[in-house]
Amino acid sequence: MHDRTPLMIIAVISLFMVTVLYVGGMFIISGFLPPPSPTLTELELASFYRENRTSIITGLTMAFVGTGFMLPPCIIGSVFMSEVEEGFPYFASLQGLCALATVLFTAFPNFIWMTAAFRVDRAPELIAMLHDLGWIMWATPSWGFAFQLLCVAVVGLKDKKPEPFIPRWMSYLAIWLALGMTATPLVPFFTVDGPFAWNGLFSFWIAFFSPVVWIAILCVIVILKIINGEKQPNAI
Amino acid sequence: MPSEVKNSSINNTIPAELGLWIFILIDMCIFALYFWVFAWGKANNAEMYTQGQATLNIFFGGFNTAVLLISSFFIATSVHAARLLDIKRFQTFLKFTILGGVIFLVVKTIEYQEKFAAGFDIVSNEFYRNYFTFTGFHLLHVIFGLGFLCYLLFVIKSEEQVRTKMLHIEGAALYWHMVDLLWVVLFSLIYLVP
Repeated sequence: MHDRTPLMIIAVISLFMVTVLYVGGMFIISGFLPPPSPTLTELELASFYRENRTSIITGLTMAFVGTGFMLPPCIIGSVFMSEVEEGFPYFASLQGLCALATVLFTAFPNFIWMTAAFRVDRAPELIAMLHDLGWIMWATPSWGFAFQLLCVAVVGLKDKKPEPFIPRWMSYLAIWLALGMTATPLVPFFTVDGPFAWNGLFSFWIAFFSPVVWIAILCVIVILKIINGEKQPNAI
Repeated sequence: MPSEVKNSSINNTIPAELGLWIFILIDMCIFALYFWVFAWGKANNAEMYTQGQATLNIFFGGFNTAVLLISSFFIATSVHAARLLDIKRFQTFLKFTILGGVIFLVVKTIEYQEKFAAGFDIVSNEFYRNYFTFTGFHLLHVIFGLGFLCYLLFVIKSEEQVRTKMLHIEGAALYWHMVDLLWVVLFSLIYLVP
């Protein structure tokens, strides 16, 4: 069968680009880390967008370019998953489609916040509405990513090769991460600070950073495979 | 007496597989955070939590605790029967376990309904936010657990299937024990601790 090393290298480079562009743009340059509290008043929000207009638009532009780089590793993941599945690669296809949903729902809020920053002299309540819409759209719809993780876990657990592509414990961790996403649909309920608000412990810090840790571990596993070379590729 | 399963984890050091234990450890860490959030909130606003606790139906909570503890005994008996390749006993106790889970689900729904009827919901105050979210996430775990148990019930019907799927049986039982343990702590913390 074909050598999978080039695909793995593309996946790692793409993940690196996501880290630099998305994390750097969205969280460092835009100043959205920690996320602005949902308790901020309309005037405070309008002044936040006015004072940081250039950095917000710059950071968000980087971030939406970064979201595009999320697709290659996901689709390469689907290719590897389809080699494990017997018959029609149902879970690999579902993972790829859900990846598209994840990318779109991660990219859309950038445009909404950019619209808020576009005309900062408009009424504060309009800026606040766009700001809320962006955060609710960003923090709430995690189903796409949860389904991606479940698909990876199902295929990972079905992989009976002597040396499976991902260790079985990574599949169990993926199931746990999908379960951990169940906190995010609670975001629209809370207009005050708390663990389930969009800047809260469970809805933001755990729901966002635990998948980041999982992806980082996956990245290390893939890099080690690239360095050491794959043993028995595609042997089932 | 039927012969025991030779190739199951009974001959190894731990039941089920390592990945599931990691899953359980991390899931319990998250619940530990829930407990911490609840305890921290209570320490800062004791009056609100005491008033909220007084509105809870301790009978429903206690009944559900008993149901889950008994269902844990049933699943342990079921695993034991599976290890002895006693299919009939395995399936009977599996059905009892599922029945326990369904009863828990029904009682919890009635309890939530009672709270909604009294005008309390997830945004009423901090106590009710914690009550609904933490017990709600636990309820989700019960629903997932019921899914695993139903999978065992419908898939494992012969001695051969028990032999090949022993790790699945032990895994589902382990998960069910975790669900039980988490509820015991949740019940104590939310309903009982003054």
